[in-house]
Amino acid sequence: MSNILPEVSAEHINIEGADVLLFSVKNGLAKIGICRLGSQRARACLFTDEEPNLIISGLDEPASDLVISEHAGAEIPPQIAETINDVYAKLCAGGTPEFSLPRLIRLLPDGLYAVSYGESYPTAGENMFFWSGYGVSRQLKHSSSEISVIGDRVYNAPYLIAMRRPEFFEPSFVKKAAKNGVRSGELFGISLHISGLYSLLLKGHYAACAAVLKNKPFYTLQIQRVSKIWKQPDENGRLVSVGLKSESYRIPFESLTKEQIKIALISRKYSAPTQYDKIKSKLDVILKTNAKKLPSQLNIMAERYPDADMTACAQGIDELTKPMLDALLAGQTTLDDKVIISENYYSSITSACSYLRYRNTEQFIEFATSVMKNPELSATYRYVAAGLAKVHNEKIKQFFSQIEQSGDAGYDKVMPIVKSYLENYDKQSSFDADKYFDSLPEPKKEVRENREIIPLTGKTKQIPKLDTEAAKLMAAHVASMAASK
Amino acid sequence: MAFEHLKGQQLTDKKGNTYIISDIFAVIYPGENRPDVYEWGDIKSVKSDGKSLTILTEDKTFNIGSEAFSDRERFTAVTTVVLSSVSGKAASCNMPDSLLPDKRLYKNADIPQSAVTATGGYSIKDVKSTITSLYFNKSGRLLWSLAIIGGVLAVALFQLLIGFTASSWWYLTIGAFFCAVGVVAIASIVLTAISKIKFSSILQSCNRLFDGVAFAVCEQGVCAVEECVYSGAELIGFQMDDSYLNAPAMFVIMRRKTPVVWIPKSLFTKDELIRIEDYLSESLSEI
Repeated sequence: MSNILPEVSAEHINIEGADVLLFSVKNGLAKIGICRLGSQRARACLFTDEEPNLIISGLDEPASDLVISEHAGAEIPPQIAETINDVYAKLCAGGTPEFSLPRLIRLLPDGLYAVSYGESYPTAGENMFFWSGYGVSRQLKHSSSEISVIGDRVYNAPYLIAMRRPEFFEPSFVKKAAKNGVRSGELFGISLHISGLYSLLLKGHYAACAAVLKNKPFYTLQIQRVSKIWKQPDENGRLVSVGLKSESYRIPFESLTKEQIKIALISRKYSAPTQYDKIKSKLDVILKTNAKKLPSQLNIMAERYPDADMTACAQGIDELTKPMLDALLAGQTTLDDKVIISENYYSSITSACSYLRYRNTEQFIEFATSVMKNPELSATYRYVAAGLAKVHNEKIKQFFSQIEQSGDAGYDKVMPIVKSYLENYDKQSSFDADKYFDSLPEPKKEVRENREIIPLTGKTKQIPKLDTEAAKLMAAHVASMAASK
Repeated sequence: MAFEHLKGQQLTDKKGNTYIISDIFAVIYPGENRPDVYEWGDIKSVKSDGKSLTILTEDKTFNIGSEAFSDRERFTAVTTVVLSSVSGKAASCNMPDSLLPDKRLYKNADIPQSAVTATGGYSIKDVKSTITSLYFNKSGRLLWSLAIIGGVLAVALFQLLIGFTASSWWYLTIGAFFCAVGVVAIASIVLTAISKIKFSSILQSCNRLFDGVAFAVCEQGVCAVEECVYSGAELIGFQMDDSYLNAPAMFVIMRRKTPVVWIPKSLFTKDELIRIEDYLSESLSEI
């Protein structure tokens, strides 16, 4: 271990009236980071110490969605889990992020990190609970760093990727998290932004379960690296760098100190940890894991969250007025010589559906059914029907019943969706999440946090536990002081 | 991009300008908070004389003098980051000739356990002899042609001036043979001189590479880099048109008939040399 101690500093900066908490990390421990997998250029790995947690493909293609899979068998190393737990406990106890987070932030590679607190959707972009898909290789919709429908705007990244293996799921922890995993009365977790609309949930998996089952919002304290160059055209129309950016932030150079700028610019995109060989060797070993699955009730309840298309369109489209929707239904992509959404007609219809589904369900149903009644738009039927099928509404049931009874060959492609919707319509409404939550086991007794020492005097005395990381740092600090003498 | 394990580098010149060489190239001027930031794709050219670095953008030229580099390792790390960053981009590079291959040729690839590795350096004697082998290997046909032409011309000349008779044919033949040998000897001297001039810069680079070079040869490719930038995750992959020369002192891997990687045999054991030759002969043709 290097004797150089990590330096973490926190600062609140004001960007166009909004307060942003910014951490700068120098000599970071890089215990949590993303490294490239050498022989397969397109693949990268998110690691915690020597554990490969997440395999990511496609990071080099800014416009392509990532394919990720959690590495079966990977564990969060105890010292890192301990640090994350401590930080989370401090935040639950009301500690401010600038004082609670540095212990976690110093585990990251050098760089500039912005921290936000906002609502997250505990799904992986589709309508499945984020933790349920653990270990399955999947393409995450709108996980590319450049999302075409959003363009050059800043956007929130609300979707989550699980960090913990589901085989250790303990139902009693859900009730415990519902009680303890709160901050200012809100269920929350800590996440690390990966790309696009997605971040990795470091802590708060059970709090997310509780939020889903109790139908409450779930918030995350999201750590997002700010490392990209923000360019804007100058007076001559030439693109010049004016600041730093990430998915959710645009920070002009003027708002940063010279030191912060240097830290951000000097840090490299990928970490190359000293423990790379160990990470690589663990990647080759797939441990046999328990096939335990999460309760299906979580997936049923997670269906209510907006999907990635909806979130992307809601953040990328300013407005869709009645004349705009009418123009789209009339087969136009422009209104008053302005492109409504996109020059691609199919893309415009699907984006409009996603936008309306997010903003206004009634308007969505009206628009989507109008689209599906127009035989010229049959190319969009499947997408639109799939969108309608995600909404539990009597009008849609009636519309789908009409389609089923019509026997129109034009609807053949969507018939499986229609039939499935009608078959499951009553089942959906019969599920009682509160009842299920109440049936979960009560939390077990607390495990003792402190080691008990029985001195020779016979009197018991408790000493606070010193975590491995802190012990190493203390040892390095003592060594550096001795060396300087 | 190869050499991603290297940290971003910060350099300050005597004017107080701070240069950041990382995934981007940035310049922070003294007293100013707003840096000039360039992506490597925006860089027009990179030049070096082995001690300093010049980076040319669309409208500016940045000369990073030798005083900005605290030591040789720092300079190596900086040039490695620069070259790997501009690899595959439009920027032209003008770097001093070296026995070590151009860093732009490297790709990310884990060097397998089966690779033959060694650390050490080059000896001038080995390099000189290998250059000679290389040159004579390249110009073998030329020397044979010169010998034949010299012999034929001598025979023709003797016929014209003296004339081949029953009594004189044998010493005229010997004379023609020695003429051919003479032509080859003169050509060899000239070729050796040319090779020395041509490879003089490479020979000079030998002086700073007598130690601290990491070598690795495996089925997929080869690596020869300064130890300070070696990570075991970079290789020059073998290509279809690559070939190799098995000279007495070195293996030389050639790309389009140009030497790219020089591997001194003295650093390896007999068994390792056999394995290296196996790896090379499996993927490349011998010249």
